[in-house]
Amino acid sequence: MSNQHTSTLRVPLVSEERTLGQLTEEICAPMERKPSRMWWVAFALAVATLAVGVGMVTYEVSTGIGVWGLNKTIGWAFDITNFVFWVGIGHAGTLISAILFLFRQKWRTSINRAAEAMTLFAVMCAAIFPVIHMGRPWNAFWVLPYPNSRGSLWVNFRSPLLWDVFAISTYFTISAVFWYFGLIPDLATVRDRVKGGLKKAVFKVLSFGWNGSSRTWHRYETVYLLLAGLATPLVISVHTIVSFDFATSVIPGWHTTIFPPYFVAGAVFSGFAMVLTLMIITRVVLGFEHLITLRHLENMTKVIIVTGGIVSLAYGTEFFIAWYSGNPYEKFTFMNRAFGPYAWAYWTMVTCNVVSPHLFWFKKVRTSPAAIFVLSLVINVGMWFERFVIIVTSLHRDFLPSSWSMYTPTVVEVGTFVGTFGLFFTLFLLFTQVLPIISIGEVKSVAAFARGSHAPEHASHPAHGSETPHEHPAEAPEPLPTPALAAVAVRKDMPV
Amino acid sequence: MSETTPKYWQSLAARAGDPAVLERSRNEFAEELPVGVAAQPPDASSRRDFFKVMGLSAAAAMVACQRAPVQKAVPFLTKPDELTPGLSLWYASTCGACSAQCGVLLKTRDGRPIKVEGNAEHPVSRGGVCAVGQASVLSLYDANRSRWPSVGGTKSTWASLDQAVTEGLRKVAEEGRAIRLVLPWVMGPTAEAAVARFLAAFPMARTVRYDATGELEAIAEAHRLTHGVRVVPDYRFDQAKLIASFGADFLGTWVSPVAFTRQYSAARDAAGSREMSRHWQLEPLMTLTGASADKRVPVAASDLVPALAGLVKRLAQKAGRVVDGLSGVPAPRVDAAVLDTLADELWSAKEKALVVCGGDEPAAQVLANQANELLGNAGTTVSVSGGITLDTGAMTLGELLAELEAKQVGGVLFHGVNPAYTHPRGESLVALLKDVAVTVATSDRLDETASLVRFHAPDHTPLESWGDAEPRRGVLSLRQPVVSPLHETRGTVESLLKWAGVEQSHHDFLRARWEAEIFPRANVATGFQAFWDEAVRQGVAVVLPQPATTESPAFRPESVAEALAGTAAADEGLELVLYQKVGLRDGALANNGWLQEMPDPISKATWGNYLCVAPATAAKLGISDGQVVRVSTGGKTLAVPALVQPGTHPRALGLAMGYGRTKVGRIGNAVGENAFVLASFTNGKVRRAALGVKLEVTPEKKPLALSQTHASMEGRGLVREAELAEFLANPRAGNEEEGGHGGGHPLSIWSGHEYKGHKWALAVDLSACTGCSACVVSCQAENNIPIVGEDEALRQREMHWMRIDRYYEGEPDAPRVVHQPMMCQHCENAPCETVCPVLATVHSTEGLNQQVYNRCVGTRYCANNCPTKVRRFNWFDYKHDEPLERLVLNPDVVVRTRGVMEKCSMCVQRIQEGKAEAKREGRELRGGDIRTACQQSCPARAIHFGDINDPDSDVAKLAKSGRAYRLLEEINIGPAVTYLTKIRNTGNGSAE
Repeated sequence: MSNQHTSTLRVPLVSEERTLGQLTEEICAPMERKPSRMWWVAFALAVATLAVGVGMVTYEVSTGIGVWGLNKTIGWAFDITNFVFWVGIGHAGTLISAILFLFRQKWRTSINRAAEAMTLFAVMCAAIFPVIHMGRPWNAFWVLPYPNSRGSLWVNFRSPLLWDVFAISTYFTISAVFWYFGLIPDLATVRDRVKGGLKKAVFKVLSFGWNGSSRTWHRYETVYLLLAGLATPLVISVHTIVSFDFATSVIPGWHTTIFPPYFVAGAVFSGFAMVLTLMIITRVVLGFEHLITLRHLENMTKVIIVTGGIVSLAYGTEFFIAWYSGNPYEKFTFMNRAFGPYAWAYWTMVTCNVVSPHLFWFKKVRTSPAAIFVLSLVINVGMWFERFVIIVTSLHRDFLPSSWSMYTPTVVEVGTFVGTFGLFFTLFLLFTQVLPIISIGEVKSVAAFARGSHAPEHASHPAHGSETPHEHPAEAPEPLPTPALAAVAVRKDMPV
Repeated sequence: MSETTPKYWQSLAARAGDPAVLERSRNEFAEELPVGVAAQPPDASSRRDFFKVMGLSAAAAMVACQRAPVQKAVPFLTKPDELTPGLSLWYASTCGACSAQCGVLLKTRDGRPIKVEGNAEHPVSRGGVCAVGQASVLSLYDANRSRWPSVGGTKSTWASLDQAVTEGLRKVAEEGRAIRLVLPWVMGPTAEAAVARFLAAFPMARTVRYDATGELEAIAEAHRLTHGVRVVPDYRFDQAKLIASFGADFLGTWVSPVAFTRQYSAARDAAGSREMSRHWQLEPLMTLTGASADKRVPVAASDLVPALAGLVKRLAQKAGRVVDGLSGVPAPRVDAAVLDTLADELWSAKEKALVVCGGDEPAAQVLANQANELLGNAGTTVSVSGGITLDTGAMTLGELLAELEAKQVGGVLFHGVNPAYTHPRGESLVALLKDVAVTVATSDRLDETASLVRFHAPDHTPLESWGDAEPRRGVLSLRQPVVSPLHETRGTVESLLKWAGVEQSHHDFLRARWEAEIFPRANVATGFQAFWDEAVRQGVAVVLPQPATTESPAFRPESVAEALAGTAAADEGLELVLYQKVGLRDGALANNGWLQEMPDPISKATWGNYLCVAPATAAKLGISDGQVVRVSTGGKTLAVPALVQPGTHPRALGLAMGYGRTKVGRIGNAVGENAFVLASFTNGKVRRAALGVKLEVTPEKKPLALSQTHASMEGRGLVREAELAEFLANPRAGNEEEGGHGGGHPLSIWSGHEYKGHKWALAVDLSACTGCSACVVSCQAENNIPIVGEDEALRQREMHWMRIDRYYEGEPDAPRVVHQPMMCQHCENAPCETVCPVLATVHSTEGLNQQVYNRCVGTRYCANNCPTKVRRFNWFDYKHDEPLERLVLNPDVVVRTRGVMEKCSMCVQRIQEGKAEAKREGRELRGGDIRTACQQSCPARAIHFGDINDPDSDVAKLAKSGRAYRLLEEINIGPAVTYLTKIRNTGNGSAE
């Protein structure tokens, strides 16, 4: 049965001819075969890196924050830089799954699952830092407003750090629910494919008794839409609130009203770069080049051009306002960023974030996975430096020159940061082995098969009836495309 | 069951008496129970153990059901009348940390002294006390002090030591060999009397006086030349309209800095008197005093004598007199116009002028005396008769060394001196003392000198002993012990008496002497007991001076020529000046962490010494901060890091004394390098300045633990200043920024705080503040602030709640310096308060920004958002691991754990104490009831604390003055700390 269609307007999102069954087979394949040698190597590397992180955090928590390079002037550096960096990474997932869903951007389907998973893992990595950066992390639960027996002790609702707690935890919860909810049809697919045993039982429970009926699908899609609507404001709110950590302070370089949009754009920017990094590896390793196509990559690079532009504009605006406001402290802070002792970090940031995205204007670059991969890494480095520049260069020379200072990270800080990459990749690698990393149900809806401009030749067309058979056969109106799901529903060879 | 044959047999084997079977049958179970026995020895009775453990657990569980036993603090069976647990007792006493002997009040809690404060009723120091004095309480608990007397390095008893020393000395006396007491110049009249008794008992004995820094010695020697008496005159900076100081760091280290700072700031209170003295400072290195000077001229050390000679020449011209002996002095390499102006100004101030001179060069002191004599200021700004007369018959240490080399000495006693460390030929003592029959040292530890002697008779610390001092003639300052000796130590006065055969305790000797000699001069109607009680209570007694004459001994005009004989022109090379740091002085208290970590008021360096190099010289030689340089002079070489110090004369290099100790203890050992070894020793005379040196720059770097690394104010209006003339014309001069951009923020989305009762506030007079850092150490002592050590200081993590910011302005070669004490500003709209997620920092109803340690989780967000960066974080558990040193902790202030933020609380414990006291007495709080630690210790009275809601309070008045401004008003933080503009009297008429 040929589902192959050629459209004059659109490049197909699934670039190779595949039946629905083949799609299912392909996407489920990594879960059903033994992990490859390469996976094991990657996994071992990731776990080893994670172990370094665990070791560093254990040392830090047992010894004191003093093992970091902070001092009396610079109270945050790597810790909060990494926190904002990871939260930023975590942005793309929800943006892809929720906002692009609402905008009916069908190309999201093959990357949203992995991007959402990435979001969750990135937020987990991010969440580590606010906890371990505390002097007394064992008391971290004090930031939660729970009824307690400590008299009238309560949290400070004026503190942006508290808002962070709510923003991040809400974001994580909604992202997890959204992700999990999107997984249910696929979990059912896996359930139905598994022969038996524990795995079957587990997936049975996880898939909530999904039966693939159209009523189920209908409810599923309604809830999915609602969740997408719910998650959308969070995409904006999380990084807005993270930016409030800085924007509501009094420190020149932090105290800036531009931060909320600037941070959100930056987060999307870095998040897409991270999605690209991961997807480019995944599609090659798992052989998903036809599902995660160059077109996907290209689309994402376009988002990067836009958000990169916003970020560049924000950098420029900051400088302009620093000059225009006439505030000597702010003016100094920005001059110090560009020409002070941390100028190297600033110019690294500018090179990576302002200059490098413009290479994506070239189609050649935009369609070369290798080039995109390199640039995505460059952008991630740049975005990390953006946060470093904001945090450290603002703190190290603030109002009173007497307290000016310098910051150098220690091995422990670098190790902790590297360790979060270990955690991230450990989780991501596990994810590729235990769950379908592409939404099976959704990708089928964009497969060539579902594009349906040609109906099977002998399909019945009730609209035509039998009153005018063979009349002006050449002028007969094009038969209506068969709805994809209708076609799926008659198939017996695959559970949907 | 019987051991042998059982009546009934279980098996044939048992009947046959198989020992294995018999053994088994004795066990309750023939086989081991299978429950958890794998690891047990085969014969263990696991069932029993099981029941035992179960029973124990049950019992433990029962016990746990009861209330945990309450550990009671056992109260005194018979409570001493004056002691109430939880309340402090204050004793008036005399500081023993240096030769200035200021009056202090010692705060004790439950029998242990925890704080040194100034005694406001003391006529000399008048309420201030310096950093060193503050820190002396920590030295009391120094774990490296000797805990018992020792003979030949092994623990001994006082009885056997006394016997051995007495016998030894008697033998030496019989042999007719010399006995030498090596003593500091200033000891106090009673100690001197004890010395006199000792000398009387041993006719062969003589005193040797030694001063590690040479300053007192030079002054005394100069006065011996000019006035015929060894005396340190009484200087009165408060009487001076014009002060010309030639290298005398009189606000930091010279003679009596606390008293001088008090006098100095009193004479420079422009707001109060509308008059202000003018201060000229000519010096090779940038000192604390130079930093406060209105006119400061860098002058090479070798040019101080020529410059003074030039000044004397000019003054003599004006006086129409001729001073002999000046012709041999080379012309000073100082701008003649400077000396002309200075001479003019001095001459117009006449008897209201004062010339002082620092350093160890008697010739310079003689010229200063001559200048004062020409000005005719005797009795107004300087009084020879009112000074302290020093031991006239004493030998110098150089003479002693010669005697030792000639093996003429049979007994040497070192007290209050450490020549093995502080003398350039100190190491020769190792060999020289071996040949001396009786060697005794009384230092509080086995230091460099004490470890060379046979008998170590450790002295009490000043806090443990009686004593007295006469810091100004007629002012008798009494020292009383405030704690019974912590170790088996004994006051040296008592030791000397004992060895002289006088069986009298220190107290009895002191009291008897006061009864016999001081009471008759007191001119009081009461009996001695009442006088004594009052003296002990007040810590000071003002009596008729003895001898009663106030007439100054006549000036000997020929002395100048005598002193200047042989003055040769110095070459143009680099000159090393050994100087004293405000914190460490001569290094006697080098094991004191508070002093080691106190940032130097000028360089802001903690822990260690460094070579101060002028910026121009550093540029020429390619030296940057931390560059290790090798300084060589007189065959000795030291490798020390350099520090580019603005204001240093291009030819001058400065190296602080007091570092590089080897036997002082775990804190002070091997911190920095011993600069004393570079001093020259020729003709029995030590020279510590103008030493020709060779400098070799190495590529090595040794980072300096600076607490402040940026010296420019970057044009920000943080310290505001005005010229006196401008200020007199316009009280807001220099303070115009207030009310500009930042003035008045009518719009706020929050309703402000309301203060129905008190609102505490501080006012800091930048004009008075000299930067001496007494407040920094006072704060550290009061608030249990840990020291963090050099490594952590290098990471800029020192914990001081209050710091003194120092900024330079103008040319690096001759900069103007400002100091700004910086503590928590207790902002009205505190940025820290809004950002803490757990409300660990909150605003009190009395305007304090409070830190709740046990609520803090340590996000450090508050510190980041603090515009003045005064918050300090406990990066580690700063252990007070030495039990003895823990005794210094103030029980009113919590010791913070790691991971929490801390900061200035405006001494909230003192506020509460003051309020409780007022409530107990049933009255309103009065101004002055509560004094913060920094305010209390400030010799310059630059810090004022009070209730700004009380319109009559100092603070309220100062906050309304034209000089008042608050920091960073443009960001609307509303600090509770008011700064008052710095007023300078440079005579330029316009502030830059």
